[in-house]
Amino acid sequence: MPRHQGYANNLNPRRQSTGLRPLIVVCLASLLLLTFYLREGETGPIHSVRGGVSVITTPVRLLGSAVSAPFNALGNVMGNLTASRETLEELERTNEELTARVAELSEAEATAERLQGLLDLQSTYNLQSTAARIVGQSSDAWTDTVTIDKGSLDGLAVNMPVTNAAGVIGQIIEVGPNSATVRLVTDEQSGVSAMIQDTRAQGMVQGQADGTLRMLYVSVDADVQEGDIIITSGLGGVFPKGLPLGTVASVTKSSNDVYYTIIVNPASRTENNEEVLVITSLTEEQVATDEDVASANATPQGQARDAAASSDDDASATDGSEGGES
Amino acid sequence: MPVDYRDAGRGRSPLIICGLVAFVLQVALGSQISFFGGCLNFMAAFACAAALQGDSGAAAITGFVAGLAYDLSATVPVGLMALVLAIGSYVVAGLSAGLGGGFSGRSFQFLAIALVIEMLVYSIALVLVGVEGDILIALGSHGLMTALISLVPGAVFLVLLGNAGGSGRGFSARGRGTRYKGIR
Repeated sequence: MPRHQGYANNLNPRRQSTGLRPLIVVCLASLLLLTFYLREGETGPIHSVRGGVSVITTPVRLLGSAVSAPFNALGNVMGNLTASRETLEELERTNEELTARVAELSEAEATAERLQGLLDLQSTYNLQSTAARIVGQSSDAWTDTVTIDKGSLDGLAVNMPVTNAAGVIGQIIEVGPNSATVRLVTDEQSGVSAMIQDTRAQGMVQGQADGTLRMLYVSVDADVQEGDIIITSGLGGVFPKGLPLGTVASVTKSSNDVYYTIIVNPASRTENNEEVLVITSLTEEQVATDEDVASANATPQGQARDAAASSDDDASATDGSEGGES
Repeated sequence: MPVDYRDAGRGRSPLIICGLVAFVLQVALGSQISFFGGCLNFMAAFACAAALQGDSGAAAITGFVAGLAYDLSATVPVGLMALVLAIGSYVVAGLSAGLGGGFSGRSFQFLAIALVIEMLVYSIALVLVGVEGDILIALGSHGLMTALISLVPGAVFLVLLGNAGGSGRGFSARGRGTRYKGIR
């Protein structure tokens, strides 16, 4: 029997396929994949497959990064041209404040060059770290991540914190042999234990969709002002304490609120081909001690700014050991 | 009218080539180009353009594969874009039957509407699974802008796939007067 006779039967209108069966199959497959992905851990099979895809596509990402590098600078110029005057003034003011602050810190005097700044940061905090380079931003509009050119072969692992010269930029969430994905602190799913440098008021910094940060759980008893510097508290055990996270952009509270609504401008921005440091391990002095935890639990609102300023010896000793590192 | 079944495999080659090109572009440039919060989504653009060429079943599979490739190349929940593009492509293929596979004002209109709806649905889904926190930013800044800038590669894919289909090498047999494929 000729083979095409079988196909002729398929042209019978009563047996005409609407394609519903393939749709149902792929929908079920998608739902199964989604369910497994959401329920499995970071080391589950789907995450592993994605890690494999990341490894395979790393050369293509590097190529894309190299090709688009000249255009990134053009994009920055266009961004500056279209920025509002208010934004530019605010950025200039923030830049001046940060520059002045950095100038006060002996360990961070030389920050003119990005790589030099990284080396300063590494020596300032005595960070056990590995240098890496950003080779790509998020490939989707919904998450805030970057890809770096180092992976497990270089000793990197999931959850390791990542910094640049200005401060914390994020945390590794996926790692392949020769690349890793870093979730930025500005991503909505990120969270970093933090405190206000001057008053030691405790809280947690979380990313927001608009690219700013929000500091949560800061009691209204705390003394918080615009311009205050936010640093990592080290309480989470992931980030070393004292690394800059940002500066307070606004502080608001409603009449019945128990916590402030604090918006924080992130200290660091990421760009392609920028060098970053991946902190591979923490020393004992970089991890919050039991005393730090007890102190944070006892006085989460921190201390008064005046009290901190008047008790020069104690405060400077404290800031010298933690703030000085920042 | 019998159809040579051997054409089915050969006719898919332009689709596969376009799909591979879309994936390479997605990996290489998708992470580099952003505009007002939106990023180029080559895979969605390709899936929509492909759906305008063929029958519903093949479109659903193409959408699923394209979506899965996107999911695996980005830091988003795996399976979500695959689901959205599979359903979206199936619907687009069904609604655009008889439109013709090539680039025209009508097909571009279909492409634009499909991309916008798919990206908006995807944004809402991301909010529901907790990846996005602000639904307005997810819809307006990310979803809508991603759909709009992805129209450019979508139009290119539409032209490429349309030309391939018009020369009898499309992934459906529509260019030769029938929508039925050789093998069911």
